[in-house]
Amino acid sequence: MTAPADEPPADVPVVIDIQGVSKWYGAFQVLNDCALSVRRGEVLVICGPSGSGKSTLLKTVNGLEAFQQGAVTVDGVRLDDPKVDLTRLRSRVGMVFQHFELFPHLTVMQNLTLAQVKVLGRSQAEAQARGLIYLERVGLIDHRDKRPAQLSGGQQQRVAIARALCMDPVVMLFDEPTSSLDPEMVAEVLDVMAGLAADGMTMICVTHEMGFARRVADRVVFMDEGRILDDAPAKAFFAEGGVRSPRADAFLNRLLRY
Amino acid sequence: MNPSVITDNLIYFLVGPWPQGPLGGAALTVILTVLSAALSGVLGLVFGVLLSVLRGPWLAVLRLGLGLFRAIPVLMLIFWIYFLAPIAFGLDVPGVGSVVAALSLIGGAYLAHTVHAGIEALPRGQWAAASALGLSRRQTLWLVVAPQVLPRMAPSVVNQWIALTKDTSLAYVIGVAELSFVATQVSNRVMVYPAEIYLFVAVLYFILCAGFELAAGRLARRYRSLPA
Amino acid sequence: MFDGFLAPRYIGWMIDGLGVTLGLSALASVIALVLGFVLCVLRLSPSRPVAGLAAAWLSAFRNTPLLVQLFFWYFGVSALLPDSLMAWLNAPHRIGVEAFGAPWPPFEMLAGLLGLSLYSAAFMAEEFRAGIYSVAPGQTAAGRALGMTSTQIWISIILPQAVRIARAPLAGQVMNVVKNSSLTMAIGLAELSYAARQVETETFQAFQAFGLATLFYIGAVALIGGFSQLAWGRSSPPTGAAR
Repeated sequence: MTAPADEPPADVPVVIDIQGVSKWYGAFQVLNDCALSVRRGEVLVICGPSGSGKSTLLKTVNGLEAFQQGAVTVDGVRLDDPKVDLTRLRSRVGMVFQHFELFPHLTVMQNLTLAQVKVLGRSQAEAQARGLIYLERVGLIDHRDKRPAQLSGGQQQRVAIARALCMDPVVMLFDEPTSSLDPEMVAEVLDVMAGLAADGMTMICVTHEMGFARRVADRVVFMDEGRILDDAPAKAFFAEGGVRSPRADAFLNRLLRY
Repeated sequence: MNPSVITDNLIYFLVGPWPQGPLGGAALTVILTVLSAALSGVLGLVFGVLLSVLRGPWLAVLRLGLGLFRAIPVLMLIFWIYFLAPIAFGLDVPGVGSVVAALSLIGGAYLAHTVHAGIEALPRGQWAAASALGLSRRQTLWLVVAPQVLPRMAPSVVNQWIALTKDTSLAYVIGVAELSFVATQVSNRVMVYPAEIYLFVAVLYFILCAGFELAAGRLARRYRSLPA
Repeated sequence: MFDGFLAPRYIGWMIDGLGVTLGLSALASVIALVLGFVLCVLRLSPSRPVAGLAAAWLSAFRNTPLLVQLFFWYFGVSALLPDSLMAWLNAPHRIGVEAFGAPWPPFEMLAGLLGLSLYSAAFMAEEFRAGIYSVAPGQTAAGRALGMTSTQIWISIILPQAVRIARAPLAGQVMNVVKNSSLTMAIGLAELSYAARQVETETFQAFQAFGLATLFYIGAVALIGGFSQLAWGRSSPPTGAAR
């Protein structure tokens, strides 16, 4: 028997494995026993109301958020292993932020080459060649010598995606990549993300773009109050009367009301 | 008003007894300012970065130390260094050295907070982004944070130089022959027209300080018009 | 030189000095606050000559050393004033009703107070101005939209917010007044630094003399800072270099 088209076969290796992760800010629990695994080439969308812990969960994957309980394994490396070179590991996990976080004092091309040279030890020429490939890919090759502030929000976010891709990541994390964009710029960023997904990039996206989730994601995870309430194939999650928790149902209804 | 007291002593106001004696007057004021500005810049940078990266008891100690330097009058610190360094360490610190040391320590304590505030004002996301790319803390500080923070600090640093220039006048109290000291010398010697003398000296200081103020204003406008 | 503490007589000198420092600072701060506010209003005047003159005044006082300003008021003015007035100023008389009045202050006290007040006022004016500038421009628009007049907007919208913003930096300036009052020793005013220097000369106990004076200064500055923090929940002194 073959697996359904939207579910990768079981023999594809797991890239990210999150097990029983809990996190507290003082007495307040932000993550409650979260478990999740992502296979190579899978596209995962995490959604949920604000404050549900979805961004926090995402940031545990590259060690930007510490956690008190549980285990996170990235590409076979356990994050809590004291021998792990966290900066090295982070360089293999691409991350795209809500507010782009390009370095404003550097040109577009310098943004792309900085970490390649300083972290991966690539030569300037090598780094630039790779930078050009990904700038081409996000359609911004003509803007390579501009400063971030001279670009629109959508363009900046596409540069940020290219910057992450230059590091040859095993997985790409997107933390609400379109939330701070003007509405007319959302599509250009989602197009780039859909293109990446089609090429087989492993992706975890925290986003409210349900249209994107429905069309591009393999799986949808719904979180509320630090807990993972749903983890279902996208098709099943979005289907009329699909498999979802009552809270996810209510959340989707609120999103789609207007 | 009698201008002759100024014109007759102009050279003395500007360079003191030099070249027959040691350099003094306005020239020494400028030298004291430049030395203190350079040293306080180094101290401010080091302590400012430490304020941002230290945690726990060391941070508390540093905060307390910097707080003390900002709480005591410049004059007191000059006295401490000038009168007590010889007693405490057997070091005979010359007047010029005492003044530069005192001004650098106090200037550094103020600058440290400017540097620290500048670092804290940078969005946390910049640290997160650099860290997500695998840059170490040190690399982040020098490659991402410093290039953004330092230019924006330029206006406050230049403003700090105004305070330094004015504070060099306190060298008077331990007999360093800078501009204020030679002014009192001239005033005591000629015994007339003190108003003219002090007005003229004030104008000399004003030219130095207003120059810095103008520069600080220019820098502030430049970095405000710069895309953030 | 480290042996023993100061004799009671010298501690008395120091405490007298502290009293002069505190009294001088308090008076100068009050004068500087009032004058600083007036200067700030003039600086923001719609009349160009008035605003220009105020700007020149502020720049002159902020960009010259307090020490030189004190010398000017003490030595310079006494030479410019008519001899008869100087004689009157230097002569002892009493203020107010006999038996209740304070003793007439010596000329160095008058010059010191004048110099310290004028110098500090220029910095206070800039703190007021910074406070006014940092009130969001939308506030004026909102006031207009509600049909308020310019005066009403100033008095009931802008100033209350500006003072709230400026009070912690102003407390920092009061600390600066205390520290700067030490400069009046150069014109012979017997305040704390002067007393410390006197005691040091008499006893050679430099460590004790300057140590006690430093503690007094830190105490006074910490009191102002503590008050500011308790009352307004923000720590001073200002991180800026304005002093």
